[in-house]
Parts: sequence; C-alpha cells; structure tokens
Amino acid sequence: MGKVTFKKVIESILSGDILLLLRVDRLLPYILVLFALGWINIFLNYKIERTLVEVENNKVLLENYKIYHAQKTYQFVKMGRISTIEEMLENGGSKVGTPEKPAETITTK
Amino acid sequence: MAGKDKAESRIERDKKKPSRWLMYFYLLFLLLSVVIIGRIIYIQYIWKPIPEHVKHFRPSKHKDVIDPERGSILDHNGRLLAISTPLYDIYMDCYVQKEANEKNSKNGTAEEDKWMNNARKLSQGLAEILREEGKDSAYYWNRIRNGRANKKKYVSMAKGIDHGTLLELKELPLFNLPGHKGGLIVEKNEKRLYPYGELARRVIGYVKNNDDTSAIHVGIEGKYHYLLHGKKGQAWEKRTDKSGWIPDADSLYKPAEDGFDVKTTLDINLQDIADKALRKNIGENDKIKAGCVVILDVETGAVRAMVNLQKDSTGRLYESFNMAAGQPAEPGSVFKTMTLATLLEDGKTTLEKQIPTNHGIMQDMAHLVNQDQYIVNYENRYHKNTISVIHGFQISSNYVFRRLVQDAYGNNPEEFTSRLHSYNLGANFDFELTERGSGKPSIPSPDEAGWSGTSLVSTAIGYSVKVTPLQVAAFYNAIANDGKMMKPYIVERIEKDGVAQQEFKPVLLNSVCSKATADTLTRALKQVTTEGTAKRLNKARCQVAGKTGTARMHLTVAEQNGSRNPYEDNLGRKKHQGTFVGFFPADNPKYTAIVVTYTRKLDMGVNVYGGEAPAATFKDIVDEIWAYETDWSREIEADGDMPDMKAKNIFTDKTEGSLVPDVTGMGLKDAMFAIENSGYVCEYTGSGHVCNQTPKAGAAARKGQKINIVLR
Repeated sequence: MGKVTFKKVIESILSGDILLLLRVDRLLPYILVLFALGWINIFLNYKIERTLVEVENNKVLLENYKIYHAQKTYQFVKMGRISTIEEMLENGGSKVGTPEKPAETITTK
Repeated sequence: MAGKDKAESRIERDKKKPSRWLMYFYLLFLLLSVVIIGRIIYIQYIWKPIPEHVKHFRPSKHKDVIDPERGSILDHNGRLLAISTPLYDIYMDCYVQKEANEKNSKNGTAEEDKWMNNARKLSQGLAEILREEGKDSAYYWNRIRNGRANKKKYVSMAKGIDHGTLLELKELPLFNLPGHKGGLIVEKNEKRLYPYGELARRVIGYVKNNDDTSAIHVGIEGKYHYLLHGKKGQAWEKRTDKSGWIPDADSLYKPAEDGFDVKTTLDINLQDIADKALRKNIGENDKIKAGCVVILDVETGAVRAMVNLQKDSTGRLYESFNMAAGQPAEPGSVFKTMTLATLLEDGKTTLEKQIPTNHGIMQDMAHLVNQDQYIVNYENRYHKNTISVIHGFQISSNYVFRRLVQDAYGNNPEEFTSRLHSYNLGANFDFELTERGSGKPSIPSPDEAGWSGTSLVSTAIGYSVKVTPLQVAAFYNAIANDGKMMKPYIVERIEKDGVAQQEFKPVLLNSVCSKATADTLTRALKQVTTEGTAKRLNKARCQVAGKTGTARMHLTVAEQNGSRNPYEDNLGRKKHQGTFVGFFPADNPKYTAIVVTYTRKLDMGVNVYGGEAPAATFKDIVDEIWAYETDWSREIEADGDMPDMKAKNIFTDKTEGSLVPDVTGMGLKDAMFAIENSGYVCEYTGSGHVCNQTPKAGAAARKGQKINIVLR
C-alpha cells in the first residue's frame, strides 16, 4: 500500500473502500471479540436482573413463612398459659387439674 | 484500430465505475452518517435535556424505607411476652370489571352474572372463615352487592387477620384472581401481639406497633423502646422489564437493624398464679377497688411477678398504673417489722422482753394517741399486766411498738430514722419501671418542719412514712436473705438472636441487719402466721413467715369533700390499704411476696384487713407455687438396693450372629438406616415401600453381606 494522502482518502470514501484503505480488516477479530463481549454483557445483565427478580420473589416467600411461623408461635404460646390449659381441661370435662403437691422424686441408695 | 482500443478501454473503465444511482445512494448515506455523528457529538457535549422529560426515559426508581423488626420481650424462661408480626386488613374493590362488562356487548352480561355468582360464593366463604359475630354470608353479600351498585372501590371486609387466614381467603372465588379482576386489596400492618393478654400488661407495656409512641413511658415497652425499636434502613429499588422491583446496586443500600430482645426476670407461670389469686380474692369483694402483688426471688431480688389490678366502673379488673412500684403510702403494721429490726439490731429489745400493758394507753401522750384495743382484749383474755414483744408483734399491737420506740429513741429520734433510711426506704431505688406520676417515698426526719411529738411513735407503727409495696417486699426479702438486701430488678438480659449483648446481674444494696437479727425476725414472723393476725396462712401448703398490715389511706382533697381530716371525708368514710407480706418456705425461703389491696371509701366501722383478702390471696399463691415447684419435691428413697440395670439382648453391628432386621413396609430411608446400622450393605430396586427383602428378616447373615430390598 502506497502513501495515504488526503486525495486518496477522499477518493476511497467516494469509492466506498475507506475501511480497506485503513486496513480495518486486520482488526476484525478484535471487533468480533468486542461485539461478543458487548453481547455477553447485555445477556448477563439480563440474567442477573431475572435472578434478582427471583431473589426478591423468594424474599417475599421467606418473609411470608417467617410471618406464618411467628403467628403460629404466638398461638402456641397463647395456649401454653396455665389458666388457659386449666380452662380447656375444665371445658373438656377432664378430671385432670392443677397439681396439689410437687412431683416426688425417687432416689436410690 | 487505436480508436477501437480506446473505445473498449472506455467501456472497460465505465464497467468498473459504480453506477451513478449507487453513487448518489452512497453519498446520501455518507451524508446521513456525518449528520448522525454530528448529532451524537451535539447531544453528548452541548445539548441539555429537560429534567421533566428525562425522568420518563430513565428506568423507574424509588427509595424504600426498610422497617426494622421490633425486638421481643421474653420471660425468665425465654417464653414470649410480646412479639411483633404483621396482620392484614382486607378490602375489596367491588366495582372491579364492572365497566368492562358493561362495555362488552357480546359476553358482558354473562361475565357479570359469573362475577356476581362468584361474589355470592365469596360471601359464604368469608362468613365461614372469619366467623365474626353478627357477620353471616348475607352481611358480606350485601356489602359487595351494594358496593358494586354504588361504585365503591375500597370496602372493608376484615381487619387484623393473620397470615394463615389470609392464605385461606386467597383460595376463595374472586380472591383467588389478581386484584384487577377479583378486587382483593390486602394491607399489611405491623402489630404488637401479647400472647398472655392482660397478664403483666402494665409491666410489659403497650404499643400498637413499632412506631407507636403514644404509651412510650409505660412498662418495658416504654423504658426499653430505644433498644426494642431497632434502626430503619433504606434501599433504592429499580423497576425491571417484568414490572418487578429489584435493588439498585448502583445506589445506597443500608440494611435495617432489628431491635434487641429484652429478657425479663418475670416467670409468666408465677405471674399467672398471682394474677389469678388476686382476681379471685378481690374480684367479688365490692369493698376493694384495686390490688397489687409482687413476688421476688429471695437470693437475687429478681421480680418474678408483678400484678397491678384496678376495677373499672363496671367492676371489671384490668392492669393499670404500677401501684407496686409507684404508689408510696403509709404501710401500717407491716412496718412494725422494720421497727423491730431496728430495735433488735440496736440491742434495745429482745422478743421475750416484757412490756407493761397499761391498758394499752401511752401515759405520756394519752391525749395524742388512741388506746390500743388489742391490749385491752389481751388483758381480758390472759389476765396479765405485761406482754412480751413477740406477743405484741403477733397481735400487731400499736401500743407495744409505740412504747418500745418511745422508750428506746425518745431522746434521740434521729438514731431511729437514720436506721430506717439505711433500709433504702426513704427514696425510690433506681427501679426500671417507676412510672411518670409515681409518688415519692419518704421517711420523716426530726429536723423537718412537719416533725411533731407523735411523729416518732407514729413512724414506729407505719404511719408518717410513705413506702411503695416494692420497697416493703425488698425489706422482707432481705430478712429472708439473712439480712442482705438485694435490689429488685426486672430485666436480666438484652439479647440479639439469642446471644446476650448485655447482662444485668443481681445487685446487693446493703446489709440491713445481721443474720442473727434476721433469724429472730423470721421467728417472730412465723409466730404471726401460726398464732397471730395471719392465722389463715397456717393452713398453707408450706410454712410462711409474714406480717399483716392495715392502714388508713390519705384521701385527696376532692375525696375529703370538705373534711379537714386527711383520712376521712365529711361523712366519716375512709379508704384502707390492707397488706400481707412474707416469704416462703419459712425455713429455707425461695420467694418473698407482698399483696396489697386498696378499698373504695368505706363507711365507719367497715374495713378490709391485711389478714383477710391480702392474706387469702397470699395463701392461694403459696399453695399453687408450692405444687408447681420441683425444688420442693419430696424425695422417696428406695427401701432396698435398686438392681443395676444390665443390657440384655441388644444387637449392634458389633454383635456377631445378629439377625437380619425386618424392613418390610418401611420407606427406603428407614430401611437403609436399619440395614446399614445392623452392619449389612443395602441394595435396593424400585420406589415406594419395601415389599420384599433377601435374605429374609431374622435370617443369620455375616456382617457386610448385601441385603437386597424391593420397593413398590
């Protein structure tokens, strides 16, 4: 390739072979890599976004389970009150009541 | 020839030349590219966008405030006393799809009928699931139908439902559709829940949610709000293509810090027992208006129960102002124990010392103090003119204690009052739950303006002083604890995820008396419950040492109704405070408790004594705690030697000759566990439950041998 002059550049622009004049064909692998990287970047961003949406949805699910657990715990604790148990036993017609003396322990010699 | 060549060469050159149209086309694109590049440079470096326009072209973002989770309040054994959890309010857009159905000339009517039919089913489901009083399916159906007719888009259906109920509601027709079709609107609100209801509510406090500051000065919720609340966080979120919101990694993200849990010294079982006993004994007694109970752990001073009940205008008892810690008053005869402790500690008396009875009259101040009728009764009964100090204590004689104190400290009253100050009775100790509006305890001092000739003897029997029930309990607790006074406390730990962040250890305030004095006082207090004013406690399931007290209460100016006597109104009506305080079991005390009842204004001659409702409440508390307490269980020793337990016929993988286990009917996991644990190797085919095994169950096989199982 001879010396690149202004006239040649103008002529090559007009004739449509400016890229060949600039020998851009040598950079083609790099351009392809750049393109691939750009594509991968967009693709990964898309995937990350989708994963984050899923994470957020799962967070909501976990939060719901946590709430459910807290409310069940509340219900169990509520039922564990001595007076409540006594009342339930009484309402159920049970003969079981509160102890009248402490539990006895057996020890051996 | 040359001309021909020339012409051919032109034709050749013309062939190589691009066509003119292509050239124009190319130039057009070239020009466009120049314009585009120029435009890009202009937009990038020169053009300034209008902010109003920009926001529509950028992805949506919003700042989300992350609320912290309010810490829980726990009892001494880790049981939940207060927990935060969201509850849901359900609303319905009754007008949903109505317009669309009206516009739809083809299927609109059919769609509308279908919607209304589903709404009827929804009404039925709501009535069945919510089961609210007076709200049947017709109620919900009318609400929906009227709402639809009147274009109502926000009709309340249920409030404060839990997550489980919400899930059930979401299964119902219409509510199982997206909101824009079914009309379901769910609003989540964080609520503070108290599993034990009214129990210890004044101690625990009241908040509706984490941001509620209306009752912030009450109870543990108020006192420890700064720890329970946590810190708010914030996060920026951006909208995704799928209309979801995700954290914007390029913006600030500050996570919320959940609140700390507060672990109290309360034992909710003891609280329940005390609450129930107090309700039982004052609920039906129309003379009593309010009452409180405190139970302390003898060794540490930890508050195990604190009940504060008042009656409303309908007679219903509810947890109210913390009288136990914040209502100092003249305690009456329970103060005689403080007087006796002072006299004993100063060597001014013994329990056996005899005092002349003198018909219960203080001769040197007969015009100032009343005759003691208890002494008159004593003289009539025993025909004696002397009384021992312990007998005077047992019958709670005012005369005996006035006489003792006047004789011992008449010349130097400051010696007596300074000793009382050393019992920490003159000022509130730094108790966590002293509420706004609480009174100030006081002990009179000879150098004060109000000190009179009767102040000393009045103080000796529990008048002229003002102490809270908690202070009285702390003093009796010191007697039970060999004279060592522990500071009452109600919070033992601040936790985060079960890990202690800060611990509050028991604090020794001082030694109020020697062990010998404490033992002597215990003997006197036992006498009160066996033969004295609290004889009803003689029948308690374990022995109690304690003292009754009954005192007139100061009336407010409004209550005096024109009377100049601070203890009675113009009709001579009085209010009384009845107290029983003691510890149990008397010989090896574990708990100290105080029960105080407050009457409404009662006619002359009507009273509620410390030996009545307060002592009865105390007995109920002792009886029930005793039955639950494993530390006091009776030990049964075996009469003979118990044979040592010997292992017999236990097969393990080390046992040679052990047999192949029977795994028929088991699932794979259980079957594999049984086989491998017996020292064999499991091989399986199929899925389901074991229907066949080789070798058969019970067969002898060498260790390591394969057992084939077939599942079906």
